[in-house]
Amino acid sequence: MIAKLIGTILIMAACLGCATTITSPTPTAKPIDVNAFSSQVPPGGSASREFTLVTGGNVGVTLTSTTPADTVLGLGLGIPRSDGSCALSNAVATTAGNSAQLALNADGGLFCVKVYDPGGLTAPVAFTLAISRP
Amino acid sequence: MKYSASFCTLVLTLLTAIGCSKNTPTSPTATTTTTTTTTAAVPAYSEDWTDTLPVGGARFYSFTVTQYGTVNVSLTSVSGQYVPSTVTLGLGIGTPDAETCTATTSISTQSGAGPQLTGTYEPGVYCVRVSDVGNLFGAAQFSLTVAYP
Amino acid sequence: MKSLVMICAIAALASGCSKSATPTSPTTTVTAPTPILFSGTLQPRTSRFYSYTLTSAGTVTALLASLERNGVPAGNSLELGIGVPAGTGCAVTAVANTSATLQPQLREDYSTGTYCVRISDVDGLPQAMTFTIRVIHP
Repeated sequence: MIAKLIGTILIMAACLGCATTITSPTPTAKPIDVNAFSSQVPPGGSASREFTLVTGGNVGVTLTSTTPADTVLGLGLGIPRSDGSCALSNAVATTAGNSAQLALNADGGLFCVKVYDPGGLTAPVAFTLAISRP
Repeated sequence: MKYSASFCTLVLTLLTAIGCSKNTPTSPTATTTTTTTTTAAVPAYSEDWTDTLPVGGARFYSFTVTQYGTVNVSLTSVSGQYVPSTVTLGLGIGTPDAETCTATTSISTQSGAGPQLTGTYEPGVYCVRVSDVGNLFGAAQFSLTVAYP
Repeated sequence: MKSLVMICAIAALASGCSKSATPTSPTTTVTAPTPILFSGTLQPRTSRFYSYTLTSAGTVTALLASLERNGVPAGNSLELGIGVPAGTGCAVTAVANTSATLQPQLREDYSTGTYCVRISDVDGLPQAMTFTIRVIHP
């Protein structure tokens, strides 16, 4: 009886002394992160914002509102230059809406969105946009 | 009691020694250092480069050295309108970097039989750079030979 | 007596199987990738190149991210290449004819050494345009 008990304790001590650590698996990246960006575009000017993609995927930009309403603005996606300006890969001229007016596939890395006067603004236009990304 | 404690200590020591046997430090092994002298290879390749140097400008030419050896650069001729053949230009050897050639060795020299620049280099990509050091009043046509191993 | 030996054995096992004897994997140093931005104006029917040096072997990606005409994206195709500086240019070994996108058009593995990325107008741009290329290397 005592021998069996000690034998069991021996086995437990061996297991405790030489235990292996079990780690939980890393959870996969959650889909879709949305950021809002509000600013103003002066006549002949632009406003841009940088953002980072941790992982590659589809990036969507939605011009959600402008003041005055129904103003056509240029909306583009690209990468930041060393001087901070946004070098555009693709762009559209659009009014505000509920769905992405511009969507591109991109690898992970640093990118930027730019809103600009496509020509014709006579006064500053306030805008809000949303960036959806993986 | 005393006997039991001594016995326990002995068994403990033996079993611990078995468990810790893999941690026994060993003395360092004596090493012998051998020094090898590498002989610089003589140039096996030669390339001629003719180009135009703008006023205040620079031009460069890249080449690949495949074995440790001697590189010779000869600025063989300079000419052009308002450019005397004896004009002094900048001449350098370096490595291509961004949109230019970053010279690690440079001199100011007239053209001639040469080589005006020579050195030994490890395998890698290098460049020779010709520049206006302030003596040009018009664009200069130049010819240069680079010989490398 | 037997019990005494067993108890001594438990104590020895607990000390002999300490975590200090557990073998560990060698530490691997990972170099953070280096981004290069190469921007400029490309005249019609010309090329430009940019040289860089790899101090660690690994994957190099080249992205023609932007081609703009007066600040507006242009859909023209250019030739993007990676190679080795040679003569007055860049002797490319990997090439892609492409318009600007946000995904690298070239992805190649290289050993240590000096390399270059080249942008060329082979189709004939209607006028000079501004390009932006991002190269990421180890």
